[in-house]
Amino acid sequence: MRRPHRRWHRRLWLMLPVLVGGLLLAALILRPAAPTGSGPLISGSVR
Amino acid sequence: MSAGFQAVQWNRHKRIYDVVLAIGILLYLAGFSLLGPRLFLSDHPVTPEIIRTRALGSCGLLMLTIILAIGPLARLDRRFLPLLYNRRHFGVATCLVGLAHAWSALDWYHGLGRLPPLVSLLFSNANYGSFLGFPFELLGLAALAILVVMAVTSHDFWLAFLSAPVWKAIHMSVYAAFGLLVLHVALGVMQAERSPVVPVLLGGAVVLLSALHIAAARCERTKDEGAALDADGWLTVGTIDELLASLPDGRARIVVPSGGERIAVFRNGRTLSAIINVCAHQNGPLGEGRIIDGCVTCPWHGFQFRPEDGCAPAPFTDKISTYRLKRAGDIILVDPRPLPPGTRVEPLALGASHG
Repeated sequence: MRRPHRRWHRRLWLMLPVLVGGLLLAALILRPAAPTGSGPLISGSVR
Repeated sequence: MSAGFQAVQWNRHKRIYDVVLAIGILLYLAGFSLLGPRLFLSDHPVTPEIIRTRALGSCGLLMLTIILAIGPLARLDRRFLPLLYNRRHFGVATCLVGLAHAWSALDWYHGLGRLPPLVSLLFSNANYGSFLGFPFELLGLAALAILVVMAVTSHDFWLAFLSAPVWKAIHMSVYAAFGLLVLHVALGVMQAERSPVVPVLLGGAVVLLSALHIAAARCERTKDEGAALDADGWLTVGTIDELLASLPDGRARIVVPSGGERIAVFRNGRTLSAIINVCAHQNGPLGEGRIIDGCVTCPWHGFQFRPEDGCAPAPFTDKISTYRLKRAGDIILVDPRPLPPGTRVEPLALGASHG
């Protein structure tokens, strides 16, 4: 494997899991206590 | 490697890989269809179409998670290298499963309205200012677009056409696709379901992949700490007795000069040759491969180079850097300054150390 990763490059790669993990955690904490009942998609259809 | 253009360079290993992959996908979809309805805890009916959509979606996300785990696993343990060999087919299959999921979702949720399905998908939810109400479908669509671009450009033709750095940059966006998909699920099905299965599996995937990548990066960094050079600027590879005893024929010892590139010193019978550890194809670790038919064979995609001059066998024209080796008493040393790619270096004979 070619070695060099610049410092900013490494920081960028570390930010990705932190960002995704943080948003996932926020979505889990903030999700409503009861199911929305609307199904997973908000649709423009008449169904 | 192939002399002429072939859409897919099939061989027995790739066929086996693909058959196992296809069977795995079908088994997963069948299993999910049977068990899936019991996993969901929602107060709205979970129809067969919803099960179908979720089966395809979860299958695609699972496949992407496996794909992203293969790289660090192969760096941590050589036994995972066979999975890496045909990862591009795995990626294309993941894209197809993702497209099937998108079709299934469009068909069920947006197919019977007054608006065309894609228009409905793109414009029916404009709640961009909300976190939980964000149109998560668009996150999935963006991830799918990345996967499609990757699948379309996965052939070696595009690697040569775009150049390795550009191709690699495009294909590293798979991590962005994974992040988008995690949020797609977190803001989508996870908000509609009470089952703990979704957050547990989703969080587990993020934690697992992060941990694997960090572990692999640490492992690589340890290897790269580098050894000091002697007064002439040469690097010790080992003693003759020790190399003969511990280095199997056809395998390499990887040495790293401090602050330099890794060098793979291959044993070929009773001679040694040193080449750069980086494959000209996709930067694969040549030193983790072995000599087959007289050529160093990259463990990632089977690209081959002669150990003595770093040239691919005819009719191929790829070249890699070689290094000079010398013997000082019982010690084998390598000059860490790379020679121009394709430079022939006479292999160093591993004569008897006391002879």
